[in-house]
Amino acid sequence: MVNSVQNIKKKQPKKGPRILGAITLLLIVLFFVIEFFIGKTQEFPATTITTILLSSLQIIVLLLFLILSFVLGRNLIKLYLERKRKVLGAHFKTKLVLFFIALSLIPTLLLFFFASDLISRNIEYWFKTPLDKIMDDTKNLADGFHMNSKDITLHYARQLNEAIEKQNLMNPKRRAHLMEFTRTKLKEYKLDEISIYLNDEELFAYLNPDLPLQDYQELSANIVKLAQPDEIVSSIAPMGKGEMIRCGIPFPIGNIGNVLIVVGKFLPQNYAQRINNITSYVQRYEELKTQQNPMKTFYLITLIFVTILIIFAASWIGFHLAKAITVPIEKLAQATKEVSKGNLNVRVEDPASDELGILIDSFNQMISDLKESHHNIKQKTSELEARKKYIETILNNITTGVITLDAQGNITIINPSAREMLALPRKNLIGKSYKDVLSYPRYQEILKNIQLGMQNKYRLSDKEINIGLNDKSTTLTLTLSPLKQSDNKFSGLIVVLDNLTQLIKAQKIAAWKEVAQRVAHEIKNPLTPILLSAERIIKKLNKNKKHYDKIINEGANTIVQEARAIKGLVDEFSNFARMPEIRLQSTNIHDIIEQTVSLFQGVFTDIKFEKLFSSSVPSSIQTDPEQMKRVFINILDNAVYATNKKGKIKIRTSFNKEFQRVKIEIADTGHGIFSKDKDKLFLPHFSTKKKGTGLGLAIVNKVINEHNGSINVESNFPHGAKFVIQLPT
Amino acid sequence: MIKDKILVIDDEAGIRSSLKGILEDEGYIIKTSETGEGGLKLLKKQYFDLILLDIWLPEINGIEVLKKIKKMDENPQVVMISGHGTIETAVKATKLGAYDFLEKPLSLEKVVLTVKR
Repeated sequence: MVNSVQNIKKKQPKKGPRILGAITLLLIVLFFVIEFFIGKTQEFPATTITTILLSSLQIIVLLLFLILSFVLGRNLIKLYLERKRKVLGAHFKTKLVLFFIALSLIPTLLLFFFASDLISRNIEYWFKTPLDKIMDDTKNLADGFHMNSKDITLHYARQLNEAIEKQNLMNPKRRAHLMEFTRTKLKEYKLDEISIYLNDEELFAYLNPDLPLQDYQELSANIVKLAQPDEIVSSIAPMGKGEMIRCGIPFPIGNIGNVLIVVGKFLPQNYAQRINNITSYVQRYEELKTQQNPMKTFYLITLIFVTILIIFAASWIGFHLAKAITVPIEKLAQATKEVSKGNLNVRVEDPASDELGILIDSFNQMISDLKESHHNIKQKTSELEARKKYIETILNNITTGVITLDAQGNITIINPSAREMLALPRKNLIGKSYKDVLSYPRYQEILKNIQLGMQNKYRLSDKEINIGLNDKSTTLTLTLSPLKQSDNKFSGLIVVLDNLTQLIKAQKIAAWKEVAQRVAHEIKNPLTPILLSAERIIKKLNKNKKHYDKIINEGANTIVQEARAIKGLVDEFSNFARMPEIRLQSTNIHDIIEQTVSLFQGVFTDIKFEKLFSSSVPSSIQTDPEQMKRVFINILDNAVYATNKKGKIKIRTSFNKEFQRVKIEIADTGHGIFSKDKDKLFLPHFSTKKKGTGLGLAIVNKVINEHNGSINVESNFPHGAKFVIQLPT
Repeated sequence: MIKDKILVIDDEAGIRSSLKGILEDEGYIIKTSETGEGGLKLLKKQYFDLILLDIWLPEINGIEVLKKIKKMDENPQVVMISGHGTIETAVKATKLGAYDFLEKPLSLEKVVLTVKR
């Protein structure tokens, strides 16, 4: 999935956008070139070229606008479609793009409107100023200045004329005087030139030494040519950087001739040139005024162009930024979706180096960790599953019945053997309380034991239980093991059932075989002397009468003795068969042991009896005292036989508070019990004694079982045997 | 006439006394022992022509006693007395060198006949 997403992304830079980009670039370059040309002209001559250039600028801007609209529109439509298709990240992208467009559009447009308004208003304002009037005033000012200068110059010329005529300075005799006078007046009137011509010949000329004298010769010649008799001449001629205003007054003196006095004033600035300049400016301004609209258009177009470029750039950046952010996010989102679907083989491949890259790396790491732990869990689960299967298979195939109960007593597991043993239906057992399942009276004994187990949470091992099923008695052994959690809290009970019926049958047959053999042996033993004695009597009776009395006496005695032995044997068997049911009553077990031991103490003086009674044993427990006495007699009898009537017999009692059980240990220092015999020990008629019925320990076992107790035999240290009896209170 | 000496080893007093009675009637000299050990002690002291040996004895059983008898220099004949008249014990006893065996309950006639042989 992710790969295909990447493919789509890679395909995206198609030919279309590239061509569009090239066109845009070309247009921008073209725009700048044209603008450069227009800008270079500095003015807008109303020529066709300007018009063409302006229209081409307009076209370029229009094209750019169209391209921008197209690109923007296309992208926006794409975004819209993505949103509609609910492509991941489309919302975010939309937000980003709109944000960027708004961010670029709002200030740019604001700026554009203000700037365009400012430009058009300014342009209008510039052309509003009454430059023409300024122009006229300036000209008048310049003209007035000239006139004024001319008037002053003329005035000085007149003054000089009058003075010369009055003092008769033109008299050649007074020439030195004239020159002196002229020089003084030049200084006095701050004039730049005073020259006196006589009959068109220059008499002399005084000049301000600061004047640029290069052009002077030409100037003086000109004014002579201009001079007409009785007419004042004036001229304004450029000289150096400035202008020379000259006024000449001709006057005839009778005997001397025509005198021309020329006074000049130098104007350091070339006012005329200045005014000319101003005039040309005004003319250009007038021309510009006619180009007011094209100029406005040009500036506006430039503004629009810049605006479009900014929007273009901003939206382009917006899209790219959005892409740079949303593409990895999109991938991440898609990958997350995949992961949520359970595909853990996802990896987000993105070379982003910023925080998104870190995010992606972390995500990948997380997924790989997840994958690993998922794999581990899977493995563990399959291991567990296999284990469960294994246990199930075992439980389904073993002949031992297994039932597990939870802490509330509801069945969690019951295997086929258990169902079969208890003749329970196949269905609807799991989850039910054992009390409901075992509610029939025939389960009373097993129910009682499980109830005790649930209450006391203790272990019970190999408790024999009989249940009657279909008129058949089945013997089961019941073992209870409490289930404990790690915090030692009781969490249920395992009930293990073994069907002893078959085993017991086989054991019974074996036992009976042994009993038969032993009975045969026991009966044959006394039979031999009986037979021999009887035959001897008969033989003596027939052959020899010697010692007849003695032999008959001997033989008859033997016969009686052996017959009695047989009777004793038979009595014991019938006693075992006719053993009464136990009758429980409050008993002090220590008293019973004491009574029994005292019986033995009197007879077997070579045996030391040691009693260690614990005070924690309750003074009253529920037992049948007569039967318990019999139990102790049988065990002590065994011990006495085992110690060969000399040694030590130790009797110890203790009390287990948790399980509420009294423990009685009887240890002897006799020959001990072979481990091969331990199993058979409590079966009827097993005996290692030459004499003895083999019923003693069988009776002990039966009585203890009927008390719901248990009996075991262990080896005593360093030698001998130890019987351990446990009784409930 | 030299009277043959017979040793009876059996833990049953009744059997010992009745066997002693009938065999003395036949003219044999009879010694008895309750245990195998006691019997072996008697064998070391004096010679017996025949030993009647019970298989099931306390402490050392008949088969063990038989093995020890067969290891002795003088080799008296041994007849086993068995309450468990199984073929196994019989075969075992004869393999170990027993002459014959008598099955309980013993009959006078059979005992006398076997002893005589």
